[in-house]
Amino acid sequence: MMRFLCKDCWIAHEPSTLLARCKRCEVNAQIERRDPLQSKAASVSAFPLVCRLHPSEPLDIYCGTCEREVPPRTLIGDRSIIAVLGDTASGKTSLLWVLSERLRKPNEAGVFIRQVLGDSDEQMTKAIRSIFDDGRMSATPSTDANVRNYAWELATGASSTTVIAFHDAAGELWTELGDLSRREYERFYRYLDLVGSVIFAIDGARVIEAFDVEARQGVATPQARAAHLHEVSILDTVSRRLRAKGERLPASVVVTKSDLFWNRAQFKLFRQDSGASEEAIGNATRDLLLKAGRQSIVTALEETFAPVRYFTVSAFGRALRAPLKIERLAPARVEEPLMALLGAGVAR
Amino acid sequence: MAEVFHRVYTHAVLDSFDSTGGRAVPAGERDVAVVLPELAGDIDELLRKTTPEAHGTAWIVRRFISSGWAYGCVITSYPDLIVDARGRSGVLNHARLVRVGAGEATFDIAQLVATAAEFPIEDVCQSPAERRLADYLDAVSGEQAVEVRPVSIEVLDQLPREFLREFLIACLAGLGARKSMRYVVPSDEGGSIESLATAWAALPLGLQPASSFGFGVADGCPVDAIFSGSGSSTGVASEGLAGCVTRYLNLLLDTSYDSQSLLRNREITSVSKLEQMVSNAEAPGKKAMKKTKKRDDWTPPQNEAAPQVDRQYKAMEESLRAYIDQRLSLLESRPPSAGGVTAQSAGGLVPAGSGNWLAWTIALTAAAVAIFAVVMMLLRSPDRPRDDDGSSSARIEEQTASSDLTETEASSSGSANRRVLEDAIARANASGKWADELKNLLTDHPTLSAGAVRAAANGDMSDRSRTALEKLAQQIEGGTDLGRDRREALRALLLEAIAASVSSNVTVDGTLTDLKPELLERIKEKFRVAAAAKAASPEFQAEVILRWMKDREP
Repeated sequence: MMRFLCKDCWIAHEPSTLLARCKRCEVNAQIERRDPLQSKAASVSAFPLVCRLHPSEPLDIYCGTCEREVPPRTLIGDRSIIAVLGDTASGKTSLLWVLSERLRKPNEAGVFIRQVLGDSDEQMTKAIRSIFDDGRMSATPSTDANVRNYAWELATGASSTTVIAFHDAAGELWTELGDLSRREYERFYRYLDLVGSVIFAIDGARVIEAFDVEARQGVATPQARAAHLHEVSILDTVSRRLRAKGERLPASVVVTKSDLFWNRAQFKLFRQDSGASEEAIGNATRDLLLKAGRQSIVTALEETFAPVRYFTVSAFGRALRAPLKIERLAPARVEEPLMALLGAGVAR
Repeated sequence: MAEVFHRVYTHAVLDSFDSTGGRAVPAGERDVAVVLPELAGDIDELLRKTTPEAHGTAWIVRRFISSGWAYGCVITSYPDLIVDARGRSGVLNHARLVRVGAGEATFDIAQLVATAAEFPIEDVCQSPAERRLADYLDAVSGEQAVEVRPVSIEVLDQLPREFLREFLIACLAGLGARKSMRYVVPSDEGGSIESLATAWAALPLGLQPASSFGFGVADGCPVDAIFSGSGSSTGVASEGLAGCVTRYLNLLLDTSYDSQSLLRNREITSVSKLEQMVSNAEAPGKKAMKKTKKRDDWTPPQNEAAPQVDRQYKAMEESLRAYIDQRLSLLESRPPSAGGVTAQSAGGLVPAGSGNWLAWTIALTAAAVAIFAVVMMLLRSPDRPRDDDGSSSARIEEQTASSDLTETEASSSGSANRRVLEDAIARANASGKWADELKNLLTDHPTLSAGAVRAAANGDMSDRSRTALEKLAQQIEGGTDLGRDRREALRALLLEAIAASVSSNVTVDGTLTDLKPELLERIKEKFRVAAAAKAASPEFQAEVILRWMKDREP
């Protein structure tokens, strides 16, 4: 069964809940109208969808709930919706923005954004405009999942494509997920229900701080302690929901802000040009988390998700000091977590 | 004076133990969460989801009713005041709630907006970044009460009427939906929070708890309408709603109707109730409601046909005079008969032996005058039924245009049409095939059907829909088989047009989206429809249309 994603409502529509328009019918009848897709389409199981009366005329399709246009190529699979989890200020927005920019052209694996779906680019511009305006990031607002929604159609091979979609939620929503009102955040919950894979962002600044504290057997700052507690809390709440689905989803665990520690000898492999393999990066990241006292997180992640892969990335490639200049950014390894999920998705 | 309560939400840190992320911070003894916990949930949701769209202060205006109290709520959202623990830009959102008793419920929210606008935010900005939150909270702690004033019609009257109208349409179009529809209001057209807050007071009290709006707010904030000085508008309103708001404002500002009772009306909780109230208020003694101040410069309604009637009157008068003059001059110029000339007591010269001619002339003149008087009485009778605007122009034009159709012919045509429709309804009743019966009617009685389609197109609808109906009427008249799609479109448009005569909340666009179950039930009741009230059902659509067509025939 084909399912079309309305990324504004977070509904995976089957044909019965979509509306459609045929422009030739409208010209003939002199009336613009949206009809149920099932009554308008020649067949709802064949792609592309065409008009029943005019078999050469492709149909425009619309969400039956918000009535916004749904790009006809927004056909989603089980792993298309990716949850980007993480505490506040862990770098989720930066990662998504830089990822969207890096995938404008084919990467080493030949994957690139074939088309941006809906208003994803406009939403992204609004989300990061403070970089342009003020030279620094802004805190993500705790809105429902009706803004900061991004959907891309990725070209993944010679003639294959796949759709992926994210919602960039504020860290507070993840940390307060257990008490979050379903009435006030109905789209966010629908987004959660559709999630098929996970990127779990861990703030590299807090990790390396904890790593150093562990090394000198000192005392962590309240912020580092809070970050750890938040991560465990997020994972507990999310895992409860995901376990209810009866399957284990693939996850990419991403330690962000690697530029803060990649100058140290043991972490040089996290640089973009280190030539380290994915396996070596994964092992080093997992080891870093364990040495930073994140044993509970690592255990919980591996109990909840499968397969779990570890990555260390830097969205900006340098310490974030205002004013941030876009031309000075040098992202490192930001595509790797997504590439791993795409591989996991295909393997299933 | 009325009590004020506060709630502050921010990304700023209070001390070195604070972590990142937005959260509510204690605002002292007047914190909403402490004093009004029943409202804290709704306030916190608004605060969390409010972000300025640019570098200016963003505003949210709402009302709440709780435990017998009325609350006005104004949120200010400052974008460039603070940074969070990681150096990111954050917001400081501050909700002010003013509480008044139910009796004072119509206080003007613009007063609270003015209080918030006068807050010395520049002083807070002078402090170091890490001190700003504490300084802000210190400054707020001094705000314990504000002046409240009732809504003033004079203040509303000072707003540009078109701005006020557009604002109310925007608020009512998405009433209670919280869909954040955007509207662009340039600053030179009243686009300021002060003007918007003043205009909001024009909403009847019953509608205000459901209504909310923002100014300069980013997407994602759960309010009905967001006004902004730039960008593009996403909100659309039906012409029916626009008409309702225009009539409401006329009633509120241009008539002697009790404006305060209108504004204080708690029964008006929906747009349909507003429309009903406006219709009821307009119906009785409509002429008597005109304000005296408006009467001073009152002029009769400009009847388009009146100049034409006057011209006809003068032409007939002149023609009659010319005829009489001509006859008299003929009499004067007639050569004396053999009988010679006799002097008449009435003066003048009358031909001898012309007594019959004179009597005939007088009788003819008198008859012409009598006929003329009767015609003028018919045309100018004050008892003639008048249109809503007090004129009878439309009917006069109709009569002029259809002068070749006598009343008897029209009546017999109407009764014949009615018989056709009654027969069709009887057949459909028996067979249950309403859509087939309507289809047959379109082909068997094209003039009757096209007339009804055109009558529906006279309603309050978009040009596009009106044009579509006119084309369909032409095709019916021309004997063209409409085919299934066009018949379906015709039924949808007609059903919506009929629904629009029942409720102003219906946009006639053929989508049937505005035809909610409650409205369909009203239509069903009004037209005594037996079919199940389903907007998309061809049988229901056809039955409504056939019964409506029958009702409109004399």
